[in-house]
Amino acid sequence: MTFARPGALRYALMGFVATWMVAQAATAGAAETSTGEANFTRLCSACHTIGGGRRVGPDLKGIGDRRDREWLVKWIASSQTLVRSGDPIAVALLAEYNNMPMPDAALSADEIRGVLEYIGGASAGSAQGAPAAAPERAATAEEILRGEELFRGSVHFTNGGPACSACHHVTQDAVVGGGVLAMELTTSFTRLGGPGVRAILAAPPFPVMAQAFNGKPLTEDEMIAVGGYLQSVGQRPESYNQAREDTFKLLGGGLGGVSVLLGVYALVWRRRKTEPVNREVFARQVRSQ
Amino acid sequence: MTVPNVFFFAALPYVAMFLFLGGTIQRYRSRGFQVSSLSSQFLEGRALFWGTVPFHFGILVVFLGHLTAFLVPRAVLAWNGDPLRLIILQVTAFSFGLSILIGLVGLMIRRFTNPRVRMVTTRMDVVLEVLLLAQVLLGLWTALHYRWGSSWFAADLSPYLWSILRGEPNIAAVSAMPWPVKLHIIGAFVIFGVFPFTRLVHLLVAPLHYLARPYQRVMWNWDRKAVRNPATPWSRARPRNT
Repeated sequence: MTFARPGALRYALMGFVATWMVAQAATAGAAETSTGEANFTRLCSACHTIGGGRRVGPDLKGIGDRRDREWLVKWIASSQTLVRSGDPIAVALLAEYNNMPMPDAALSADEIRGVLEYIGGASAGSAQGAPAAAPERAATAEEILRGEELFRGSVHFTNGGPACSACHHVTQDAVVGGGVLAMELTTSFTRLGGPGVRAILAAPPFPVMAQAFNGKPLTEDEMIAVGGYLQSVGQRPESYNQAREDTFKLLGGGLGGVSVLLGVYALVWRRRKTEPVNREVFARQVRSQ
Repeated sequence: MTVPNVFFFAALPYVAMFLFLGGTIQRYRSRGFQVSSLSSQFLEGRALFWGTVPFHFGILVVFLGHLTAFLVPRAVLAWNGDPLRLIILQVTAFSFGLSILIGLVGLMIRRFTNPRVRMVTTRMDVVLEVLLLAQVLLGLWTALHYRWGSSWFAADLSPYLWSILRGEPNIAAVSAMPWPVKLHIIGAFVIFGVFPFTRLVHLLVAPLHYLARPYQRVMWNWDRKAVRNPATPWSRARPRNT
């Protein structure tokens, strides 16, 4: 085996280190520009208030006095890591808030401290944010049906957002299961309540969902319809909700599909050359003897 | 934003682009005749068929599928609005993905077991095949375990890729993706970056004009007896490449 340049590996390694250093510098630079307040508004305010009461998660007024600062940094960075490590406060908090896990914040430790400083400062002032507003009205039966169509994507959101079922599953599907990239939503309404669901639909705190609906917000009616659909899903009797195993179906479909493909390849190239050309020459010579 | 995320999703794409462009130009200028993927069909043909055909048809369809979701995400989302169409798209894409896997494994077995093919194998061939194998396995894993990738690719990864091309990478969503998806994206950038240093360069010189060109009939138009006679001078029918 040959290799073009003996020094290539060394250059590659140097490039790697240099790029890593640039990334480190860029991260530090970005941390200075995005303030604690901006990060709080972007990532936290859908579920938390400061002195405005409980939303999806707890009111954060005076959180710095109630909890250890470094514990908070760990919790905000990855609450589920803390829960899995068996931290008693983390486990109790998760249970208190309906087992709704808080998404990991894609922030550095310094950025998280910046957010905590902002919360500390804002705790002294007037209330920030109010308890999540309840939907203006309950969804009608027609709107629930429309919510289901929006969820699955057979009707498109007005502003062009993707269907919920691209990433979310509810265990009552008749035709096809929803995606499994994000949380299963069968009991989301039961756990979060109308205001919680609405808060997430209005300003998604999850980065993947925020990107998907960036510049394509749901309209008021759509939020009511989707919320109503999720509520109706949660209220259905257990027996109605059949879990679906689409992974194996997809695998089976793929195996069937690839068998067909291999058959097509064999058919299209059935006259391909499979033997050396001189084989015919040899055979001819034997015959002529 | 953490350092690994910035490195892999904001810096690596640009490094890959630089290597792709710089490396390709350098290779073409310095070793232009090596801008190809040294064919080994002369050395071994039977096993090659069951490797190269499933591999190439698979990767053509899967690559064009990714490209479509990147270029026209809204059309893909609209197509996926109907559950039946979504299933057809996903199962088709997954079948062609399996076709890549079968072909690639066949090619790798052939490369490592056939002494003739092993003689013409370079280290970068091995590196590339291992990278491609990892990439295909991660892609199939993603398709199975994080289903409806065609929809969430269009909704999240297409905007991310466009943000890179605009020069203002927005890595919030991609940073929050599950690790197999992240590895698949990193793998794509790595393959893009090593492109000019591997046999992948044959993509740039694919003889696409053969598809549109009228076929050529090659005729043996000499007096065979005269040609085979050593006394015949070359000047009568000298072979020429024109």
